[in-house]
Amino acid sequence: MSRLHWLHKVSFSHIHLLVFLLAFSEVSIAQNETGFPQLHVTGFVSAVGGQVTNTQVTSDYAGPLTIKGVECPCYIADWANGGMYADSMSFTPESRAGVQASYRITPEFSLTGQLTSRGTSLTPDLQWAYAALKLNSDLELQVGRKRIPLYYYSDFQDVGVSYPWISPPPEIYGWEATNYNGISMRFNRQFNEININASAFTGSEKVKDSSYQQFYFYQKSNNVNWNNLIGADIEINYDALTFRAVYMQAKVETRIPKDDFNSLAGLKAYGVAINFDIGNFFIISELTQLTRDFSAEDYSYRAPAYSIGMGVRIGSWTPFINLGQYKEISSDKEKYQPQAFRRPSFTLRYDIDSHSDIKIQADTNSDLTNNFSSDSRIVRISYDRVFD
Amino acid sequence: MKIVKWFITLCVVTNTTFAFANIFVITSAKSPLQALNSEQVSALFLGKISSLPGVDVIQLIDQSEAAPPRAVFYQVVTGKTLTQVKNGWMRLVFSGKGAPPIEVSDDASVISKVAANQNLIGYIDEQKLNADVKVLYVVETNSGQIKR
Repeated sequence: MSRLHWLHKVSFSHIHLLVFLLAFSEVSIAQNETGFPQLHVTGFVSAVGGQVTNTQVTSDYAGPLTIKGVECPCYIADWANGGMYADSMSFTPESRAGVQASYRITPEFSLTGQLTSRGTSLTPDLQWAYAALKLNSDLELQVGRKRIPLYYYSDFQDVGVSYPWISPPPEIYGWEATNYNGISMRFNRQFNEININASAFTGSEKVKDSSYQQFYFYQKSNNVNWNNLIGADIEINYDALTFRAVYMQAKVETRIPKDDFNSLAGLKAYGVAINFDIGNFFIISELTQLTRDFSAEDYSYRAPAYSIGMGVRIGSWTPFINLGQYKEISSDKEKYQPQAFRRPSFTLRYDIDSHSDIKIQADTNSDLTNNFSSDSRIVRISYDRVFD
Repeated sequence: MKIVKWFITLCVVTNTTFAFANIFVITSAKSPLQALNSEQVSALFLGKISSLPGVDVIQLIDQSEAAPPRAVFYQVVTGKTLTQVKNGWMRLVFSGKGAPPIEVSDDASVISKVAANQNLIGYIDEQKLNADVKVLYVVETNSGQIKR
């Protein structure tokens, strides 16, 4: 898969081109209409501002007093991209914009690319770059760079309008790698009233200076490789009920040259999501567990996590409550000190129109193990919009 | 004309139920498809499926948000508001799981596109039907409430 590594290296001019295409997407779609080839350009933007409102760590806090040079208490909202809030208002941690172009050459064959820029990293990242070939009415083969479809919201976790929170729960969506280069096969079919969407995927990912690791090893260069990544998911939709299950495994190699740190872990991840949406009321829930087995160092940990939320749509308003928890269980506390967090939150969403919304959210994050970031209260506001 | 406009405005403002012409889900007269059921129509327009027996790749034709049939169509067929439907499509588009419907401005544009291409499925006001297209499903809107 390493031959696909060049896909990371996209010059800045590409985003200018894509922004230009976005601005004229109405025109290009209108010109192409239903003939082929078709160009479809879409985009999304989320401006998110927030801050931690308490200024003291708890009296029994025994973790680092600063994380990435910022004083605790702090709140890590986005582990993969290094988004963290502290006690002053900031729009940096979670603001983002993306543009996606899909070029459908024939009804069966298409090319798709997506670039995303973030407050934490203005240089655009190539999130997607793949070719898709529909083999028959049920099967589609995709080759290239894609999101790892690990949990329910992974594929579209940057697209704010498509979920009720300001961002998906970091208890579940907190990873050092979010993408991979490889191959996937997707199956989609309707059986009477049941819709089934399933996929199998394999590939690898190299992350240079992972933001996730920099929460622990600040200002130290690191390399994280996810090799031999393989997994499968199935989503079953019946009327108001959606069920999804996923399994993935990979070999995770982490190197921090400055500390002469080298580790190899077998990673396994399982997840189940159950969503229920009837009329104006909905429940979304996800239960996951990951294990990392450092067999050479003779220890392992597993981390069950869950998120459950419910909301009600009242005209353009959607009040929503959620509880998220992440809890590590270590086989050897001398070798690995576990972390755990629990976070109730309340979000109020207002739909401006079918393409945009404003949300406010209040969270209370408990550092249950008192060893990383300490307890914090956070308030956030966001404006989300999609372009199509 | 003015009286009609005022009546419609009054109905919309007061959320009144009133008769509305049925909506026909249509495809090309040359298509191998003969009929669809409500689950198929709903799954197609929510992006849950993108093929049907005999047609591997279906392309949907939608009407613009300002066009009269659109909100009624989605409300009756899927039970969802246009915002919910749009959010669902954005999820699929940015997951690489679907191409959203192509939007056109009115019934006549839907008919001319659908008539010319067997892969297309759209919906129109029943009164606009002609022989170039065939009806796959009838969305009965007589009892439908106009959702604001």
